Amino acid sequence: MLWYDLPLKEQNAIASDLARRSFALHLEACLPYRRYVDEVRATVGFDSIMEMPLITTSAFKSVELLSVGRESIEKWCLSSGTSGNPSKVARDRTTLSYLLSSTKVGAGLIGSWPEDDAVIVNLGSGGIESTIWFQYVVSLIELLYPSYAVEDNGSIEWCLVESLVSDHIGSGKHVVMIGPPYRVVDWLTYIAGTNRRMQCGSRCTIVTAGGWKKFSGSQIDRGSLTSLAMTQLCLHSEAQVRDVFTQAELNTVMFECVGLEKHVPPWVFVAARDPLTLTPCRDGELGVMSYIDASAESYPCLLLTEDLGYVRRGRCSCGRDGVRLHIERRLNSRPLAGCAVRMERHGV
Amino acid sequence: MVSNGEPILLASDLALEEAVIACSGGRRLHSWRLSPPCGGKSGIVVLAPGFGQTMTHLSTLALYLASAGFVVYRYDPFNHIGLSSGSVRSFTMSSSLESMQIVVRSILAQDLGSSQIGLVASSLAARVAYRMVAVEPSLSFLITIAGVVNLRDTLVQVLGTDWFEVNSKELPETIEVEGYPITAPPFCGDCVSEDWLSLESTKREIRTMKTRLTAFTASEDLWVRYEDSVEAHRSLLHPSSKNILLAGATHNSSNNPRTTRVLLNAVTDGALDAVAVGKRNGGEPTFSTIVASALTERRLFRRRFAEASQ
Amino acid sequence: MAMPNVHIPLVVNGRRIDNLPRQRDITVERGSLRTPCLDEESVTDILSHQLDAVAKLPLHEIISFLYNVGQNWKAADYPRRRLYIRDCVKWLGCSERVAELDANWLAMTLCSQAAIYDIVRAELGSHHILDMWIPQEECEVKAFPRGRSFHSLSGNIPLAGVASILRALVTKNQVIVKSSSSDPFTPLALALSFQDIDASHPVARSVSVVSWQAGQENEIEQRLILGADVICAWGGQSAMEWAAKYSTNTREVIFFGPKRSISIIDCAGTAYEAASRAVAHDVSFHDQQACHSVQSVFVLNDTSGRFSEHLSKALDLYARLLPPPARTLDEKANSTLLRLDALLSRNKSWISPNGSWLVIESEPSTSIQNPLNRTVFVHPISELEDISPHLDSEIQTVALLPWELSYTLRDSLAAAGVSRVVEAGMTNIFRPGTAHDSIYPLQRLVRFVSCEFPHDYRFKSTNVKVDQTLFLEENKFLEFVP
Repeated sequence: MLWYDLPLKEQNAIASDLARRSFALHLEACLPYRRYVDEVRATVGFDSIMEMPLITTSAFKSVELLSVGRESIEKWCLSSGTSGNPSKVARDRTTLSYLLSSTKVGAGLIGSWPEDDAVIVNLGSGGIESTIWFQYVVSLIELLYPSYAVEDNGSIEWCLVESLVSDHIGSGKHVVMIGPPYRVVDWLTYIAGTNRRMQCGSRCTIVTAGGWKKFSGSQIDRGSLTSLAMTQLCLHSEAQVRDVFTQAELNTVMFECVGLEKHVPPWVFVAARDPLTLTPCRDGELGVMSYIDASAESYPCLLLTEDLGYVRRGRCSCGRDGVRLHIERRLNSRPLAGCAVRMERHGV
Repeated sequence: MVSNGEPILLASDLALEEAVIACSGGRRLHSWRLSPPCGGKSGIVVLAPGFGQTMTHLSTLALYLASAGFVVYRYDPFNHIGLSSGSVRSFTMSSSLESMQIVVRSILAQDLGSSQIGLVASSLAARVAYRMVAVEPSLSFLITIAGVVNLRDTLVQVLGTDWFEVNSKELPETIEVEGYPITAPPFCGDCVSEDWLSLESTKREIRTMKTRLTAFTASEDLWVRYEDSVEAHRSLLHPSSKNILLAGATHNSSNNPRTTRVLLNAVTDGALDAVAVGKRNGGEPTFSTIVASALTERRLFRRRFAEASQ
Repeated sequence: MAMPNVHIPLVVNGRRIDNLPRQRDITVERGSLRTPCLDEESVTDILSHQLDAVAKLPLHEIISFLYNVGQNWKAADYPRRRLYIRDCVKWLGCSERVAELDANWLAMTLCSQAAIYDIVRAELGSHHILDMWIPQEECEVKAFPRGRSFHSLSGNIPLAGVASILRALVTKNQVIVKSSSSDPFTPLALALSFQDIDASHPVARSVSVVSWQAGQENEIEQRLILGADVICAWGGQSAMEWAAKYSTNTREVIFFGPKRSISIIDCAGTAYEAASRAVAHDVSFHDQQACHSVQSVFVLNDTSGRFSEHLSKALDLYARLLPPPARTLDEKANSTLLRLDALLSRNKSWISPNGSWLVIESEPSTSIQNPLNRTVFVHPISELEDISPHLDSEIQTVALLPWELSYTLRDSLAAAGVSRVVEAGMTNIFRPGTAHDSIYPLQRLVRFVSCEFPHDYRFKSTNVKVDQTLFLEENKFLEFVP
């Protein structure tokens, strides 16, 4: 039985148990984290998981957080943020293995096809040697299905992508197109510009991964993207457009089910928190997202992120019981030095 | 065994060569050989895939063994998924045995010097391996992983029904094993006529086995009862044979990285121990090496598959 | 239930405009407001306004008018003042105390006649120079308005917009204000309060207040900018880049770009309580949104290590005296994230229970972005020289205590690019004679025209009448060289 088919009670129990173990592991093994816990005057042996001190994602930009020896680190993964100073996250073999196996299993929420019956069109440059987190994760998917990475030197020849998709759909395969939302929009806009529509029917799934902001900072509307995809690709269902969530500091990818909700696996303890007190928000209440990801063993993955969102627990519209998260948006970033705050806030 | 072109260099200077064995009836059996730069000081190992697995599924184990100095052979059996002839619909235990024998014998037919040859087989392939090794004394060792010892019981667990209770005329056209349809009458008929089914048949074969056997049994295996495994491996001839329990492991531990890693190391160390080479030189393959090699192999496999389909 | 759209007008040449064919919505802190979109006719009206009317007004007339306006603002029951305070509280989320204080400072600014004269004299050399030709060495000089001034406001502090408008008015320019959605009320209230005194007064009629989405002016709106002789651009980097596009050899652009300010406190020369209250004032005034708002404090001789604690208490006091607006979810979260980062870096921190301020004690670092909202970094130092690496031209104001530090430091601070040195607790008061971001803005709002004395005027360096033709004929030049 896969994790997303477990009863909620069991998932919760696993999450709590693993969160405690993860905390204990990193408290013991990661000196900066132990000192940090001391600074917040916490004591070992927490009654409440919510009291476990969390690390901000920005801490990974400045502090080397390791729970294993440096010689065990097999990959330093970098975030792809636009701040100019990326996070550096150290992953050892075990942590990477958990990432790979959890991605393989979690992808089943999107769909499962015989290996010969599906292809991946990666709207990125691919490469498992990449240190950029998003590119690395997507490249691992090639272990599951034949993949084509279509970006070359930062640009994509959309007419070639069109041929690729068309050929594979014509030969009866299912095409899964993965990329950041802005790239998917570019693709769909290209199709719209050709005045042709691709007859993909049920044979295509779009998976968006990455932020929903354009480079200019304006937000891409998910509803519009889905609508455009339905029209230009003649998809049968809006459930053929899914989103996934991941970030460099997290060791798990959250996949959307057919109900368009991102299910959180039981080795990740997730909570939306009050921004000041860090107490947990109610189901559906907006708060700052936090994670305790027990699949990360080489670094303490007890995170307080810069995302606002909410958590829901219980029966999902896909029929499964589980914990689901929704990311509403990124926090409005800490402004630059100077008096430039409020005028930017409202686009003035 | 006919080699197909130049070897492909994988990470860590391991050379992957493709070969095709031409067999009776125009059938072709595909095999890969992975060689370390030192040319196989530790010996030779043949990896037999479990049901529903191809050569690519054994990529990591092959890498481990090759990194430990073994030349590693893998193959896709007849009547199975993969590159070799025949459809999985026609799968039988005996056709799986035939494939295994062809590969092993083709290796033995080469000039191997003093190299020792071992066999590693998992799950259903292990059941086949027990029979083969029992009559093939040239093999130095056999390592099984979650080996099926009571086929009938395992099939009941997998299928949910004991099709061997019914009259052969009442069998369905196909039964689905791990998502693959198998034509039921020939499969079931072969199981019965060739005495594959019972625990007793397995015990008989193991009891006569002079080859060193190391069996890894998973403690949480829902398809192979632990008691059956203990029973099957109770009387082992070779003084170094053993049955090792993997605590917490399930039948397919590939989704548990920690257990998988333990198993990979245990199998590698077991193989080295069996050929009396001693401890490994160097460490485990890195994760990036494993992934890179797996990707190279997957791309190769897909290319060959596409060529064969045209 | 959705809030009904509240309408705010434009002002065109002193006239209130409520209805134009197109309207648009402005999103403010607590909702949205509806305002007319500028149309072709209004722009033509503004651009064809007679500049002479205010250009020929004597300075005293302008200052008197402003004083009269200020007297209204001084009255607590002045309806426009009450409306202004109400709008700031309701729509911008200001506390009532802060909105009242802004109204008070508006009154103070308008009524400070003496200060205005002093500023004119300090920046232009003479407060007569705007009205008459003033002898300067071998010339007479008069300052003429540039003509049409365009002010793109940032809205982070109301009084900055007021200062921009008043500077342009006392230098007799037409004033076109593009307000910000961060504060659409202050320029409007000021312009309309001119009408309350005398709608036909040249000062009142020379002011227009308009608005559009920042950086997205359409062709009609762009005509207004292109018609300006001088642009005062306030705001962040993007606002500066926007304004730079309009800079030409005939159109002056004055940049009031993003700046920050710091404090330097020597605990050996000042009491903790006084110093912490002064710093707390400089942090809290305008809720740390101004260029002169203190973001970091360098503390010398804090042997007991108690400065930060005192500062926390003082910030608590100021949270009562000048209550901050309710912190948004983002602001609270940013404070918390910063506090946790500080803890991970083993820095001490103090935070108010409702997130209205945050103090972090740390080594000086330029890599941490201050999220503002009354966040202060306190950097204990052992020598004044320790500050030097952290000074640059992005720092506008350095606030010091004790004041004697200024004599030691001001040259080095100035050399590092700092514009302004003040006593701690005084950052918001720009005394007459002060330079704003290292310039005298009034100088940039005028054209100095010189009328030079004729050839027979003999002054310091010449004893003869100047006859250049004769000098050329007689080949006489060098004998006139001193």
